[in-house]
Amino acid sequence: MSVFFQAPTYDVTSSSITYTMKHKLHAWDGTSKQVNVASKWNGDKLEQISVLAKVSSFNSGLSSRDSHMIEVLDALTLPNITFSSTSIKYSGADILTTGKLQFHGVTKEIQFVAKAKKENNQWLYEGEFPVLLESYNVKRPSLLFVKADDLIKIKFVLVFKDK
Amino acid sequence: MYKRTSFYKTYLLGFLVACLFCAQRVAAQSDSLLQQLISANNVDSSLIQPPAKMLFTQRALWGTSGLLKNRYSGNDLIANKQKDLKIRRTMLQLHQIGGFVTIGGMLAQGIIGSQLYKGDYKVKDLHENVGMAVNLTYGFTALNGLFAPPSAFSRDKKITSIRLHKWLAVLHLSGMIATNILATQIEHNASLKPYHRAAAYVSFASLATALVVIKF
Repeated sequence: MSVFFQAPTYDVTSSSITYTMKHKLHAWDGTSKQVNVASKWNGDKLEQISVLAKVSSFNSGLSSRDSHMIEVLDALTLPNITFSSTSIKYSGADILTTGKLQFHGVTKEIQFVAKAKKENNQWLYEGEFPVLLESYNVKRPSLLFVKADDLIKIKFVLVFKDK
Repeated sequence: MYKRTSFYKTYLLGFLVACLFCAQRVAAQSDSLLQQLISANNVDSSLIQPPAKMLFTQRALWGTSGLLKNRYSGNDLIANKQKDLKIRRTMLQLHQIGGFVTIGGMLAQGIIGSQLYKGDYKVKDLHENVGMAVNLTYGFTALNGLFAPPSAFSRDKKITSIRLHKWLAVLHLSGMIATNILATQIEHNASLKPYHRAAAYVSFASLATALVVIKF
């Protein structure tokens, strides 16, 4: 089994995850560049992946807004957002990924299509998926007493560089 | 016939057990990958400490040497920080409400003040009373903004909406002080009226702009 699942030998420090959130008055992005990734490979193909990002690592360019996110996501007691794959199926450049997303202490199965491409000795895995805040028991943040949209978009770029 | 059916049943059962075993193994490996990550990231200690930068008014109350440094008897740092953030949210909500009420009061005062400026002295008492009310709501709003516990971070390096909001606060606070001082001088020196009005307009414009630029 250890031959089949090779130990990861990639540098993933260039990876990032971005959320996009909307409010009646404006929209904004928050990006985390501190993405922790553990993966198992079968040659050039990803077999399994787990990703962890701290809520506090998302920077929207406004400290007070990020602090507000810490409050609504209860990041003091639930500091991590994690994804753990349960199935990865290749279909050309498309990768149908199924797994468990743990967000605000609630775990749900999600499915999305990621794209894989190799560029300059590095594998790029890109994709996005929607998240409904209230389905994860998140109390939506508000500005001027108007709540932000329930739907947020999560976009990820995982970069696996040869070490 | 019976033997063949029994063989198929056994075969099917064996296949199902094998599938279940594989599925469990994949899930276990997946969980083990995640556990590797979680074990190294279980506590976010960066959120517990107060931010390095905060307003002097916030530091005076909530800083490590502030007046409220012994506000919690328990040593649960996470629970204490959660309480601070809850107080912060409540105070900032009051700050928003106070801001809206003050803007409304200023608008009303602008209308009353212009009547007084045109020589309608019947509204003088009303102008003074509304002025007092605006001062009170303004003060309430300012206190909730200036003395709210600090945010969890202080990592902004660029000009942000919050920074603009604070710079505009310096302007409208100066305008409010000037408006009030000039108001007390007008009875003795009527030539100060245009300056009083100009200071009031500056206060209103900068407060309205501060409200518009803010983002949560």
